[in-house]
Amino acid sequence: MEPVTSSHGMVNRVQQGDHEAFSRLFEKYRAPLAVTIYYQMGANTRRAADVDDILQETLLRAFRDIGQFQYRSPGSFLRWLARIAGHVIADLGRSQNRHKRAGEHVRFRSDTNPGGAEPVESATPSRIFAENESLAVFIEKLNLLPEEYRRVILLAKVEELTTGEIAQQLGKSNEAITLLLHRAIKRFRSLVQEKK
Amino acid sequence: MTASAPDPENPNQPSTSRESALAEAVSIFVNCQARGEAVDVERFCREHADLLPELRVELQTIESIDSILGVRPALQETTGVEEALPERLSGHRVLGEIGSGGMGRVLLAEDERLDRKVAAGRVRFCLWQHPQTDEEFFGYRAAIFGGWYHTPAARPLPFAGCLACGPAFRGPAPDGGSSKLSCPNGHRRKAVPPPAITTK
Repeated sequence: MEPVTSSHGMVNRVQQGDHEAFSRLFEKYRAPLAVTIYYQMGANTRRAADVDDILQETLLRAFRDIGQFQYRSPGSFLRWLARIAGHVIADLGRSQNRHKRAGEHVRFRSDTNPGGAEPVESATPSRIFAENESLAVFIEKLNLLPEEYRRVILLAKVEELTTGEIAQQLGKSNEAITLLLHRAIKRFRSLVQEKK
Repeated sequence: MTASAPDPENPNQPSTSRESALAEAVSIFVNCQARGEAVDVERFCREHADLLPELRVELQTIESIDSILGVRPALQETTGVEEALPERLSGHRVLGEIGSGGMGRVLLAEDERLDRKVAAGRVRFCLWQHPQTDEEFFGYRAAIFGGWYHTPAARPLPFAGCLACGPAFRGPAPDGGSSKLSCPNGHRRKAVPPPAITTK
C-alpha cells in the first residue's frame, strides 16, 4: 500500500474504509481542532464540558459522516470538522438548558454548606492540553492577546484562511488584515519570549 | 504614515512603510501556506532580503505555531487536488506533466486552435507577486522547454537554451556565476531556433 501523505489522499482512503488512514487523519487534526473547539466553546461551556469530550464526539460524528465530505481546498477538512464541532457544542448547550430547567438547584460545598457538592474545578486543563505542553502554552499566550490579534491568528493559522478570506469574513480591507496579522504574530512572539 | 514605533496593543496604530512591507511579505507567506504550498523560510527570506532580520523572526514564529498545531504539510503533502492535472489550462487541453519544481510545474498541453503542442508553465501562487519570478521562471524554463508559459495567461517566449537536460529546473551555475538561464548540468546556453517541443 502506498504511504498516506496528503489530507486529501487520507480522506479518500477513509472514505474507502481504510481505518489506518482514519487514525492518522484525525491524529493530524487533533491539535488544531482542539484549539478551535476551545474557542468555540467559550468560558461558560468550558465550565460544563471538557474540550476532550467535544473533540471525541466531533471525531465520532466525522467518522460517521465522512462519506459526505468533499475536498475543495487546503484547510477544507479542518473547516468541516470545525462545523461538526459547532453542532456538537450547540447540542451540548441545548441539553444543558433542558437539564437546567428540569434539575434542582444544588448548593456547592462552602464554609456555610460543608455537606454540599464539590464544585467542578474549571481551571483543570483538558487532557489534550495537559498532554501537549506547547499547545497549552499556545492557548495561554493566545488568551493574553487582544481579541483582534487572537482572532486573526486563529483564522490564519488554525482555520488556514488566506488574508483575503479573513478580510471577507471580518468585513475589513485586505490591507488592514495584512497589517493586523503581522502585528498579531509580532505580539505573540514577544509574549512567548517574555516567558523565557 | 508615521515614523513612530507601532503600539503592539493597538491594532489601529498607523503603520510605517517598512512595517507595511513586512506585513505584505508575511501575508504572501501565510497565503501560500493556506493554499497548501510548502514554503521554505530561508529561500523566502533571501527573496525579501531587504526585510531581514525582522522577517525571518516573524516567519520562524509562524513556523513554531505550525509546529505546535502539527498541520503544516511538507512539500510532498501538498499533493491531493494540487497535484491532479487540470483538464484545461488557459484554453489548452492538458496532455501531461513535463516536470515540476520549487517554482511551479510545466505541463504539456495541446493548443487545439493552432493544432500544436505547447508547454504551459504554472508558477506557484506565492511567487506570482515576486519580481524575480518572470526572469527566473519564464526565462530559464523557456530556455529549457520553449513554448508558451502563463501566469495564468499564456504567452509565447523565444526559445534559447539547453536541450540536453530536458525538464530540469533551475540550479546553481557550475562555474559559480549567475544561475539565471544556466543549465544545472553545465551545458552551455546557445540560441536555438524555435520550436522544438512546441510543434505537434
